[in-house]
Amino acid sequence: MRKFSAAVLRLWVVPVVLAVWELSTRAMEQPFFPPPSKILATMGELWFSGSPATLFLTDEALGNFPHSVGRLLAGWVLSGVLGMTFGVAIGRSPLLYRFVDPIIQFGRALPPPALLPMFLAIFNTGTKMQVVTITFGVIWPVIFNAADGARHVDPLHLETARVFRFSRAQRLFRVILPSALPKIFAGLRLSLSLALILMVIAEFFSTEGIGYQLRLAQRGFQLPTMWGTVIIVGVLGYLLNQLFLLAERRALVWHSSARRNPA
Amino acid sequence: MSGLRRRLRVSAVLLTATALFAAGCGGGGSDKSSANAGGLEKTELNIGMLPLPETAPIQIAIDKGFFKAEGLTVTKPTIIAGGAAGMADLLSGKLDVMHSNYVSAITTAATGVGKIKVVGEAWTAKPGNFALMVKKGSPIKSVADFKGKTVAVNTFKNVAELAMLSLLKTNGLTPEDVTFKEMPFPQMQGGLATNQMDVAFMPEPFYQTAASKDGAVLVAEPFAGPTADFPIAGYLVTEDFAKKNPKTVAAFQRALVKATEVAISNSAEVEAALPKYTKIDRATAELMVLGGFSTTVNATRLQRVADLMTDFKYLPSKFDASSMIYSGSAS
Amino acid sequence: MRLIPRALNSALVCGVIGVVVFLCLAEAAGRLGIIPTAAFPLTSTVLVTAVKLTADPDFLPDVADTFIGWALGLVATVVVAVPLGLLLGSVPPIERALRPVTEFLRPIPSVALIPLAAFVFADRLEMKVAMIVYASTWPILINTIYGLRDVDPVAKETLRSFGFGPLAVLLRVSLPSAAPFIATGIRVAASVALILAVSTELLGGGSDGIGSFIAVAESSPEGLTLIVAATVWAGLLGLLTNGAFVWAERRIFRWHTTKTGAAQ
Repeated sequence: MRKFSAAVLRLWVVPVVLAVWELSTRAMEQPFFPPPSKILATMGELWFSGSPATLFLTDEALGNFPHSVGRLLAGWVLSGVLGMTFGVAIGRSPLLYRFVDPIIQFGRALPPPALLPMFLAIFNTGTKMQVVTITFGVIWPVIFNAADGARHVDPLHLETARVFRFSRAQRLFRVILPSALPKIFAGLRLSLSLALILMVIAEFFSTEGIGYQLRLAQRGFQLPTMWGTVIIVGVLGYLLNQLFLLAERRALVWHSSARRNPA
Repeated sequence: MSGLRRRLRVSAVLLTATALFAAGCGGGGSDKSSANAGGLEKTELNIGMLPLPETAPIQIAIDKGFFKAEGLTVTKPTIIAGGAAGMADLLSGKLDVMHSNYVSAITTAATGVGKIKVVGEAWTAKPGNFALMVKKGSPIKSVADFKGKTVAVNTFKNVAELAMLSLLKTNGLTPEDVTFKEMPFPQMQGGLATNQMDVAFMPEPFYQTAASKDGAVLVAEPFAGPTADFPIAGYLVTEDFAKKNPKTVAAFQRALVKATEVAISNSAEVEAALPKYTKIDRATAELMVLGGFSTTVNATRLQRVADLMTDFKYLPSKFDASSMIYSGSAS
Repeated sequence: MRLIPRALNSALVCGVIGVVVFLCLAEAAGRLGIIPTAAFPLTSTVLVTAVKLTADPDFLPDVADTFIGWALGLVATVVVAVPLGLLLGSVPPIERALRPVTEFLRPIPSVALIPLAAFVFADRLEMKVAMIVYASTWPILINTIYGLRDVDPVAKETLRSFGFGPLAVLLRVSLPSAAPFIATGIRVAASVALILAVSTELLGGGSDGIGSFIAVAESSPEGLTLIVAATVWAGLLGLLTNGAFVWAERRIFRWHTTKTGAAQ
């Protein structure tokens, strides 16, 4: 019961925003800005009017949402693993950093939509191409933050590690990574919502998924459906972020306790 | 925009950027109307168009001074994004006149997204303007072979897809028999070669280049039979703009017709205009068939587009297309 | 460490070697058919086209337009996001209350919003700046919040015990301590802003910028090579601006780098 009321307290801002949104769009009477009640009705009809056996999800929802989320997570996890490895490596090796820095800076300034033709040429449309697009688009904040985090390790901690004759692996896992963790988490959290964005873009040129649905709605001037997909993406982002924060809190609790008693 | 004006804008931009999100207030263009000899309500016209061969008459009218002769100032056409974003430019007043394909225009009018009027015709499909292409050596020899294949179109739910659906029906296939995929025209040639799709809906000069460079094969013309002489695109204004500026609209129409007549009678003028607003060079332009320029909006043909859209569920019900054709005092 | 030739101590030498190796690999991928040349131009073709673009009288002004939009957008973003981040980071109840809204807005793709923004903004530069602010606020906001969380509590306590108010603690301890985080956030935001500038020009229409150059290039069968070459310029712009940021960060945060003995 207390948990429930805490959740209510935390989400009070949602009905307020919805009410303001509803009133202002009603006042505007613009087809480009339909009121949220109309958007929600469209969403319900399209995606949430299925049978109880499928949790009320329609075939349309089931045929699109799970695929999208799967690809999103695959791309994000891949970019997390690769980005962390690479980021820590260049954070700890100034020489490697000097070699690859211009390439990284160049790569992350390239708009991913402009690289889609290349990914399409290599992988054709499909899950592989979409996962690669997502990974490419979201890996930069992870690399960046991991490198910065690994570079700025407290010298006192490193000194301690040296005194205690830590092996390379121990130094990495017990000193460098824990110290870089807050920054790595900041990068991962950024890349999670970026991954949603990339997912939508990559699906524009496919034949199913949330991005495909958005593109269809845009092309057909179906503005309530278009807003509906935007809301789905937003809600998905909120939920993923909540899950992420939960995981992060666990990881960083360990981190802060580790920090209080170094080594 | 001049450097000075841009600098003056900086502070305003900073303010609006912070304030505008949550507020979501509507914006509108300011009218720069002034008294003039011809009695035009508005002399400065912002024309938005896609960089396609069909908009050559606008460039010709600028170059030959046809707009100027009517008392209109058109400096440089604005290149627009297709679809809803472009339509938003017209409806929000950033543009006065906009080149648009008829499917988008009819959707906008029929679904109540915006009240618009067609004030001129841009393009009617003629043989050789569009082609359905397959890869060299493809087993697909006719439209009947499209069953179970993937067809690339430049935009979903638009002219290309509609023409395809009609063509499938003529050949005894249903919309479910093919999968549509969206792909920009410049990528289609490579897409075919690397099997990203089986069939590509391509306009000229793209299909000619695909044929000469990769040996792509033309299987069929999309605009034939029931879709022969299919009206593709026209010029739009908002109903509000048409009501307030009838003389300006009439002046625009006169200049457009004059330029279109030049484009029809002298293809060298088109070839000279194209490199000015597209990246189609002169050599490529000379390979093109062109010939789809048209000076009149044909109500019967436009109605055929609307009826096809109703048949294939682009529109929920029948729509009277003649209601969107501008019939002002074009004296 | 003495095995490494002295030349490799130079960031420039290493960077050039790195880029050359990368370009050779990319060229090889095209020549060996890993990236089919039918669908994507060879690296050498792209580079030649990119160089040729400098002779195109339309292109350099486009690059300048993109740069101006980017710079204005980034300044506006910093003005909005840093104070907001400081507020949310130092007053957790506000952060918690607003979190549903920020977390909802954050993943919404700007490509979905551009058609709607096109309706709201009467001026294209304003629209570009607004889209940049929307998308690039998040890296700065989140990094600022994380940076404030990482502030040494002892230092804050110390200042408080000397009778300093919350604002003084924020400005004297929290802000300097979070500054490197914020700087990283701004650097990430800078590249997001560049992507947004180009995308808004491309998807929102208009006649200025690399994005609209790409839109025009779509009219030509040679368009893909032109588009990729124009994208290379966007990448170069990112490379240069990032270099400027790194240089500035080094000067400003020299104390921080020495304090933590930057990766020696």
